[in-house]
Amino acid sequence: MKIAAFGHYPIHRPLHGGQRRVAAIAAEARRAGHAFRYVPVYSTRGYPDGSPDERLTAVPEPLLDRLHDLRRREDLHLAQLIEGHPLARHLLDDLRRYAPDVVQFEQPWLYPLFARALASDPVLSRARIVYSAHNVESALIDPCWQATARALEGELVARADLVIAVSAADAAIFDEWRGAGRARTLVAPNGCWPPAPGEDPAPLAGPYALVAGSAHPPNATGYWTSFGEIPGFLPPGSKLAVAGGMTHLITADDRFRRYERMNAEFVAPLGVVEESCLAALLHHARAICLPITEGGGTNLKTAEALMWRKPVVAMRPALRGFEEAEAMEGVYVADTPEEFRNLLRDVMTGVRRATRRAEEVARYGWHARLSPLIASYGSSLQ
Amino acid sequence: MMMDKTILIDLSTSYQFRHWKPMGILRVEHEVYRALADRFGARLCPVIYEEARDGFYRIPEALFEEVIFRNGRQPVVPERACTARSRWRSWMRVGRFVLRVCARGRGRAVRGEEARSRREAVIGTELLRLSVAEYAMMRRALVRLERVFPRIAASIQGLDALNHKAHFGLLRTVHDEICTPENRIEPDRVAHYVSAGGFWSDDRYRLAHRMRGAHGWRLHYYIHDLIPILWGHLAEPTTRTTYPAALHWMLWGVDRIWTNSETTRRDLLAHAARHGYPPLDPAQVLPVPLGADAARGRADPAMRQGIFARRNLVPGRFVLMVGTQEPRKNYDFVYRLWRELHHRHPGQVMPLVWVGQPGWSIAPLLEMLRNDAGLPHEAIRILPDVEDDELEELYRACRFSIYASHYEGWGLPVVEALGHGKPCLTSDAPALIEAGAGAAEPIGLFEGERWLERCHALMSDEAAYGAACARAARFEGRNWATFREELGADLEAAIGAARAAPVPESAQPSVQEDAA
Repeated sequence: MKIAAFGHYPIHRPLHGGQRRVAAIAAEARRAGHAFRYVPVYSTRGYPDGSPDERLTAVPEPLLDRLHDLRRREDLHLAQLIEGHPLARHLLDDLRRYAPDVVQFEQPWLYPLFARALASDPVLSRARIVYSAHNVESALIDPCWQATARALEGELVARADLVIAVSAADAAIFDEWRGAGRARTLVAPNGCWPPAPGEDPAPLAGPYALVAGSAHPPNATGYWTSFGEIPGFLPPGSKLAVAGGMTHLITADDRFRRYERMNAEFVAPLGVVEESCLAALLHHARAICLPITEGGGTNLKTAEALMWRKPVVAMRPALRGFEEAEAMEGVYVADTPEEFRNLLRDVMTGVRRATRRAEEVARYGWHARLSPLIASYGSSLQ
Repeated sequence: MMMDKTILIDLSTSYQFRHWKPMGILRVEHEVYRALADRFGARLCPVIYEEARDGFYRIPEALFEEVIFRNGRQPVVPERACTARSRWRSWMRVGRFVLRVCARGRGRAVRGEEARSRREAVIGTELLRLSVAEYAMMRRALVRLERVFPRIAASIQGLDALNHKAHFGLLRTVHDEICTPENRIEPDRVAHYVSAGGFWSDDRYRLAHRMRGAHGWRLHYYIHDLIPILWGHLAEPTTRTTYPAALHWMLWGVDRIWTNSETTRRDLLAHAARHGYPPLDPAQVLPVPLGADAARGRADPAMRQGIFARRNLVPGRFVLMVGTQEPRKNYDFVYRLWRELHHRHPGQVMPLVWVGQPGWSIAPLLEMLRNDAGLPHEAIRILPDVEDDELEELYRACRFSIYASHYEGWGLPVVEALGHGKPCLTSDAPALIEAGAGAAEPIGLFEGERWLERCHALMSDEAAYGAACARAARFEGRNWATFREELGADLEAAIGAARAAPVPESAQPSVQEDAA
């Protein structure tokens, strides 16, 4: 089966959760024998590290100022911005030449660009439409854009032959939108690749708790809400390692600078690290922290934390879509920031130190998580 | 019979600030020492922390009183040669310096602390025979030489350090007499460590923490407030950065905590609970409020007369505000209050006397005050150099006192004013309400009209003033003897309890063990 997928970020070097999910879908689909072509239409300012192939479909430089205009959103207004530009025509021509069996939208933003062609083009109208949702977008977007997002998302949900959601909660919402008699939304939660510890030594001396996240602002919000300004939960000699794009959001914050000297001793801001370094960080961490307090969908950092079999200390929203994991050994879920800090302290001091068995967490691997979607390529969509 | 192990009392703060008058923390540290010396006698060992050697050092008995209680053994700046009359004479001196230092050092490899100290003394003496300009001349020559022999860079640095020490009389100071190998504390002989000073100003808290883990020391801290955390924006800039980490280490390894008030106790417990520190048993934190009788002696009419003549004040006709001049004390508010009082009641407002050393971040306010043409001349008097005797007279003779601080751990000026039977208007900061014990009059800082009305009434309405004095007279102050008794008894009880119980496991995190 030939699948053409569209998204608004490259996946050549997947960093944030959305990129990782799309990369995993691509890998799993290809592994199942499908031809999977992913076309990213994205801003090279936000994602400067696309591959040469990916850069061919990036938003042209002259449009970037308008894309990043404060009156617009880089996702919601993306299709509107490039409509009428030669890039849009090129994308359509290319899609027509490819003649896919399935056109899949990773998040709904690029759908308006193809909506008409998918309805009327002799080649493209034969393709099945899959909406691969990562969240209920209109529920998370700023209220001033909610109506526009809801209309766009609702249209795609209604039109798609198959809707994929990351959690049962999201699926229930989409099913309600689709109404009775339509194919039920398929749930393919987020996951992670099986841990590959490698031989790298511990990137930090002494015990540490790890928090990793992209520069997505809610990651910083979660950090401050969950850890607070003073890391009282860290015994002297230990550290909180902060990895990923969120690091800069944290260190540039007044709340970090306010206790700069203390943070210099107890917080290790690592920034964006290579995959091998991240693997080593996860492997040697005493605790993996999930300070997630807002956002929708399910978090693939949660799957990753669970699969590494380290003690996990999480705020409850991090367990969305992974509710059953709370019963597992070494998974500590907090309802309040104070509880989060106390649990983390107990893990750092060894008061709590349970771990999970490999077979227990195998279900969180991408292979298992995405299997309903991959199976549907071979069955319901034919 | 087995000997009882030593109780260390860390007097580093008193030692470091031995040139200061014993106010605030220094006063508390002194009183804690007295409390424990009375109770534990020879078992108590006064120590200082020496950062360069990362160790605690016993203060020898012969030096103790003079160094800690009598502002003694200050460095004496020695005389230094003036520059020679001609340049070639200056070079002759430099030559002589080089020859003498080389001659005295020849054949003697420097080994050990004692030998190093002797050699430093010799070079220091010779350095004082060069003027500052001649030293600079020699240094410039050495720097040129360094281009050819880069290895001499370290020697130049060492010489600079020695020149600084010699210039300011810091060679062979009392510090060298204390920090000898004989005075270094053997960890195994210690059972308890008591800190009542500014433990955040160096690494003493880290060493104490390590000793607790490695040698089972029990740590006991007297905490004065959480200002650098709760009111960090108004705290002394260095303390603001050093205190949070110091408190962190303390909270991860402490056996007994005393606080100066219930407010500080509550703030500390809340801080520990909020940020995930090891749980503090509320019974582990005991408020032991300070005494306030230090500044209460007999009136001396001659002194009184002299003070008021010199200060151009009329007894009974001024209002007093005591405290370091810094933003947290809210001098800004009181200044605006006095300005408005003068505006509303011209000619009826008593002078306001600010007593306190200038602190940090206060210069813009003082500058504004000096340039304020809308405030009558001397409406606010600033007295930064008041001794204890004089302060006592000022308390005795003021009309009433005022203390509008944003936040305090305790309110010593409040209890001192009330102790002298003077009405005291305070802000509604919790510690001030607590210290005032119902005898002071707290007013919220947003109740500007009430401040104005009460200040005016206390200056002009005798009935209102009489009622305020009657309220102040209800105050039952504590004395330092009570403080010493309570603190000593509590430590004794803690020592008794410690004999029976091991160091709590929760306070010994196994952070060195790698879980991976």
